[in-house]
Amino acid sequence: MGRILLTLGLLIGFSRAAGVASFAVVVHPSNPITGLRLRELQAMFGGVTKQWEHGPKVVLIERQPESPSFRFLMGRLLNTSASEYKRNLASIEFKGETPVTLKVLNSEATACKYMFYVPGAIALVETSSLSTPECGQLKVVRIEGKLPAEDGYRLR
Amino acid sequence: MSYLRKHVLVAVLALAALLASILGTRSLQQAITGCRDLYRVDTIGSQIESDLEYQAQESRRSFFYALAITDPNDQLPYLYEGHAASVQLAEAIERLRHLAPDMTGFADEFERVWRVYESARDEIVARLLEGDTAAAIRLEQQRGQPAFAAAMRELRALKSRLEVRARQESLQVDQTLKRSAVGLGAFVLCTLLIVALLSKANHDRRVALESLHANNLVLAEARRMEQQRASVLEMVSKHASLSRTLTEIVEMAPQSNARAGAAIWAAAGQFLHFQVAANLPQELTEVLRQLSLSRTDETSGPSGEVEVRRSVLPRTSGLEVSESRVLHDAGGRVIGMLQVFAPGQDAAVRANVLDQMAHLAAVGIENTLLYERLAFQAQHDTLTELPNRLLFQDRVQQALQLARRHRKKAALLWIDLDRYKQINDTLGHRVGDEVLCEVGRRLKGCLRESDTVARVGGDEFTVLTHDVHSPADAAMVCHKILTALSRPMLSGQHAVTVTASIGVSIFPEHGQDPIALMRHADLAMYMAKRHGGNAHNLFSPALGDSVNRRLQIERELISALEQGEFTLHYQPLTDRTGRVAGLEALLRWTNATLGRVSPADFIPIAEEMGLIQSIGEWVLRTACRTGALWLAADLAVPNIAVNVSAVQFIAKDLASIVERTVKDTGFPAGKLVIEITETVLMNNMEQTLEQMSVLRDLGVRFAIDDFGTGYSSLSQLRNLPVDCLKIDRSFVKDLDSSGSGSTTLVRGIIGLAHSLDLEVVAEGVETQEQLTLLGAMGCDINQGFLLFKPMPAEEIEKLLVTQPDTRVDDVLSLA
Repeated sequence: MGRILLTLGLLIGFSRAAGVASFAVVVHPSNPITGLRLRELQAMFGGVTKQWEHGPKVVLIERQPESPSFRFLMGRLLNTSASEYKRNLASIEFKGETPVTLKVLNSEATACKYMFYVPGAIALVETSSLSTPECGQLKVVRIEGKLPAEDGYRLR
Repeated sequence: MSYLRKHVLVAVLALAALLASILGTRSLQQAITGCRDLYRVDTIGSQIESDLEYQAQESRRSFFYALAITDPNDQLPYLYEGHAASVQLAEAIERLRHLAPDMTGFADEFERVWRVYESARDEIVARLLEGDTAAAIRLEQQRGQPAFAAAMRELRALKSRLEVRARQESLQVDQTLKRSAVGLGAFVLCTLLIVALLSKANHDRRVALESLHANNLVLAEARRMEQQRASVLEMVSKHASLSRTLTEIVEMAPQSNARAGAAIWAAAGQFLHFQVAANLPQELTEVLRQLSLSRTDETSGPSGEVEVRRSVLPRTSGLEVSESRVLHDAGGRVIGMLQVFAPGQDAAVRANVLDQMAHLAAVGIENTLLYERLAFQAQHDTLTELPNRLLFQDRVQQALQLARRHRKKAALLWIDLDRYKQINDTLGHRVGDEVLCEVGRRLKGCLRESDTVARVGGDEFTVLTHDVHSPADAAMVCHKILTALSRPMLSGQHAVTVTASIGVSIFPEHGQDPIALMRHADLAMYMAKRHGGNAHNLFSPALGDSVNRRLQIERELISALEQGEFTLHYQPLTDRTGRVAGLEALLRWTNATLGRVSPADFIPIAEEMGLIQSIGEWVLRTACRTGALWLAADLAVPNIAVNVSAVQFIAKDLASIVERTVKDTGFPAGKLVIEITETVLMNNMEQTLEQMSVLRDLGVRFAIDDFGTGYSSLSQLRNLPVDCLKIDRSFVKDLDSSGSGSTTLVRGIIGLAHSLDLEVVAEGVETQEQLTLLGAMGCDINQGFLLFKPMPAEEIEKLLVTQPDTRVDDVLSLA
């Protein structure tokens, strides 16, 4: 774990030095999942996957629309706009399906705190936030088998 | 209470205090432990209230707040607070376990129940945050509420349990505190008693220490006084100055009392003179210095002790006479006074110090007076208190220096009383001493104040007169002295008259130093005395020679007999036919220094010196022994005549000496003729007759020597056992054929002698004419240089050999 954090720290530092933003996917520490495919991640944030395999309901934690992580989510991960994304989620609820649980929080720290109380929560946060006490307690998920500090990490 | 009992009591109390303190301490420890437990119980209760219950309620409250809000951003702080309260609750449980291990079971149970609640709560929160509020409420009602209620019950049970325990602990603490109070009270009581006893002991110890300190002070003062006493006595023994010694003593007063001063007076003549003072104002010291106390100012107090009237002492400077001591010598005479001055009249100096000071001062003063007295006696005659020889010589020395410097003359008189020995022998020494004292006073009365009179011997005085212009001045002084001494002196019932012989020497003519002047004055006095005394005589160099020779004779005469310097010569006496009819033994003295000394010079001196008896005995023994030898040689030894002095007759043992001598030598007493002078006969007639009678019985014959020069009583001559008269040579010398007075006198003597049946011997026959005349006048025997000179025994022996028919027995009959 320490080595991971060290790697993340180095990555963060490197990314900032290079002017490249990267984002990490974090879940509740009790969540048994270790890695997700990019497609699985898109399915979760897109409202397609609503329940974790081990049981708990997937709770999406997002930031305000103007935040970098939300823009990255919209622009790079889901390739959609905020309005389109809201309509999609509303359509899911209109279809009578289980509605997507989505919580918009004001800051990265609040988001991390919130996640701590919700076992099924998943969030996309800036890798720079991983060094804060609130986010440091969460579990970072490998995307396509890679952590944010590793080469080939896709969420940059 | 004895020392041992005190210590036993202290020990018992200490033991009781120890036991009480142990009991009290143990009880106190138990009470403290109880209090601590009580405090712990109370703390736990408080923690339960403040931490557990509060945190639980806080967690619950936060939960409800979060439950009531839908915005997750607003929910989170409450959730976070609730979580934090849960964390603090867990920590409180942990503290509870730590503080009260015996309550761990309760803590575990509560924690378990609280975990159930927390589990339910987390699930409810999760539902709530997931947005499933209905499920959350349902879970709250089904699990959260019961779990929280169960936790609260557990909490109350725990609290109740703690309260019960606190009450128990409180009761136990009360009991323990009571026991502790009793124990500590006993401890305090014992401690107080011990403290009281120790305080008492400390007080006693302090008192003892103060007493010891006081004793040490007294001892130190006594030691200091002893040192001062030794110091003063050492000063006294070394004859330090009196003022220095008394200063050392008088300073003991301020040393004893800083406010006290002291002063000492010492005797000098009839007064006590101020000597030293210490610690007194200068003004008072000056007043005291002017104050001389008369020794007659003393009066006897009621106790018989001599006191000095204090009214004569000044009272200035605010000081008064505090104490006073009159100082006495060993004989009880007042020799000084010690006075202590202080602001009041109370005793300022302790009595023992004052006595010590008085004693030391008395010793110092007495020693000084004694030393002065000894010094006086060393230079003065104790009887007359006149200067002695030593001081006189010193004064003469000083006078000569002055005279030499001012080119003046000085006269030294040597005065010897005539026949002083007779005064002593007949009137006693007391009268003799009074005479000497009176002589001293009269001598001083004759002289100026500047002149010096000294007593230099038994009855010898010397006088030094300054500024003498000529011997005539000295003669006037001598005349004045002789006149003064000639007045009768009254001594008791006796009126004594003395005369003196005075010798005078003048500086610088007769000597340059005191010794020479005194010797020359003595010589001059000697000559004055030889001339009959009651006269004065001025020294002259010729006189000096004469007297010096006499003194030399005296000096040599003492050892002459032992040195064998005497010899006997014998002068033959011849009868009318020219045959030797007798021998006169004549003493000769040949000294290595003086040469041959005439008997006329040394016989009188020997008589004065008392040597004549031993010399006369030697002459007698030598003559008898020589005669005996001649007889043994079968020589015709005539009678041998030996001269006997008056001193020998006075000695009373002449007869026994002669008897022993003739017996020892074997010389017949009948051949011994003793020649005595008229003076001896007439001056000691009775005693001489007694001696002559004894000797006569032995067979000794007697001849009167130098007949005609004395004052023989012809009537007594008839009764004397005399066999021969020897006419003095002065008559024989003047014999002539013209019938002068001497010729008539000689003829008369011869006639007288023959009429008394006495032989006549003419002495000093030196001419044929004298011999012829003597023969014509009927003189029996002649003696003189015309016939025979005195000869040594060896020549006499030859003479006797050549005249073998001369028999001694015939000598007298030949007349």
